[in-house]
Amino acid sequence: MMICIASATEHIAPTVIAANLALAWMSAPPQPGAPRPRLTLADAAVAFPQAARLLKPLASSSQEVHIVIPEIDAERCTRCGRCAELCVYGAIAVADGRVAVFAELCVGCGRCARGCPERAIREVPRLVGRVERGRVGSMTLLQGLSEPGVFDAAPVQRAVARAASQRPGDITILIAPTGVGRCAAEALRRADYALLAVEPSARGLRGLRALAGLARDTLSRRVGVAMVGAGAHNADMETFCREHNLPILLRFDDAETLHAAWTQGAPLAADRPELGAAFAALAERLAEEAAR
Amino acid sequence: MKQIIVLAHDDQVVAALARSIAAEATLALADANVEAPALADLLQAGGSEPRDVPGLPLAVVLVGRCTACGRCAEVCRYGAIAREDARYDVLPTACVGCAACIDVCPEGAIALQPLRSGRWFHSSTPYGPLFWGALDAGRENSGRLITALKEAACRWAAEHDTAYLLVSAPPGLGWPTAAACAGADLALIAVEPTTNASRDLERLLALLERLDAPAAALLVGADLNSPQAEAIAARCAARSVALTDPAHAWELIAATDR
Repeated sequence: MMICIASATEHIAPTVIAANLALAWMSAPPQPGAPRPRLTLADAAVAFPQAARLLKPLASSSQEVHIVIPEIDAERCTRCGRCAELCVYGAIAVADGRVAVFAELCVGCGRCARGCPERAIREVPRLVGRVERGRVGSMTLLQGLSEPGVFDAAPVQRAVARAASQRPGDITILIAPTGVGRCAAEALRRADYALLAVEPSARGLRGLRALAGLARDTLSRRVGVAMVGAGAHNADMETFCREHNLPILLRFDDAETLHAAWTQGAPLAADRPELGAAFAALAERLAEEAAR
Repeated sequence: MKQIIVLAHDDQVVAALARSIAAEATLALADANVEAPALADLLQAGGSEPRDVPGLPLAVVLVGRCTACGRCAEVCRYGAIAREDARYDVLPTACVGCAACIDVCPEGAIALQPLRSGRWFHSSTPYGPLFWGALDAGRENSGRLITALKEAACRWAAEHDTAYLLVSAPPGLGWPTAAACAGADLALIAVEPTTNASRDLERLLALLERLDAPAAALLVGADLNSPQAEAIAARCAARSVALTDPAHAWELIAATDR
């Protein structure tokens, strides 16, 4: 089962919720007769991942992530320009009698290599990021990190999601990058359940509308809401969720506590048993929702 | 006209900077966070007519012609094509628009369809005009929409002899941040002194160096004397990056004129 925790606007809530949910699952009593599920927390917020900072994993290993980009064999190349015609990104250009590749624009589709009439293009790896793997107790923590200067986060996000083992019964909690565009969609698309963190404001409501539409209508995911913070728009948010059949699975009024944990780099529930109980309840609720 | 980019998670920091610049000089504003725009609300912007910005055309399978041979799905490197009943179908949020599938389809059953990337707006605020945008959900945010709204902002600023364009950049290291930072005369990074903030700052500085954007840091949200704040100060000193707080940001901004 994969639970994706995403938000249109909030960068703190998805990570704090994911970390505490993972801890709740780890401390949950095992189901009688069933093997303990393997738990993975996969942080796909690959620009500035923060889950490892909160959970402090042990003994990380690191795996590089590559895409392939074109390399021109100057002797076979006739400067016909077919590669440049085929590239919709302008990542390859023919000028002054030579072919130039702009690596940062290339998405690695391979069209130029396949289309070259002289077979003068081979595809070579370009480092786009890495996936770090560590352990927090019995949980695996995966962290994706994009390489600065690489502008497309999607390949590293995909690598993070793939690195999580998904035997039947295993649980992966995937942290999505903040937003409503393709990067959020990439994280949401394989989730069995999408939990959307929202802040009760006008902006939060607009963001929820867009992200819930993306997750449920475009990507056909099951969707629920985690409300974080209390404000003037709580009532509007509750009404919207009710009208659109979005179950509110977590209500976390105390944004200050969330923010303090974030700044100090600690998960929430250490000295607050009632918070631990809230996340244990969330874990149970998600397990029920995803099983339907 | 000088372009001042602010990279801050907290939009209140951007709003405060807008107020402090507007008190000293003429200002135009651009909110490049097109996935979660915030400034229009915060600065109580007046409404405006949206302008559409087209995105990269994406592949779509023409129903009548597909024979479900599957060659398109084999060649797609993005997992964007999958079997749906008797034919194949493209998932628009995963399609990158490369057209590799079109090359291999024996039936000519795939076409590129233009799709809107999003919209931008020119609104007015008490501090100056605000150019902001809204990306359509699921669309690629490769900078097209951000570039369009920034170009409109720059044109307006040039026509009106405006001293500063303040751009609110979306957090990240990808296309949206790069597009927002293009043409920067100064990039102000709002740093919250969380544990490990130095590593994140280092990654952002590496990006800004590649973009030739002069960088400075603003310490926000905490005690300047905390151990984390001291770690940030040490990192900035080691990288020769100016560090101050938002109340003193104007001095750094005004220095771009010299």
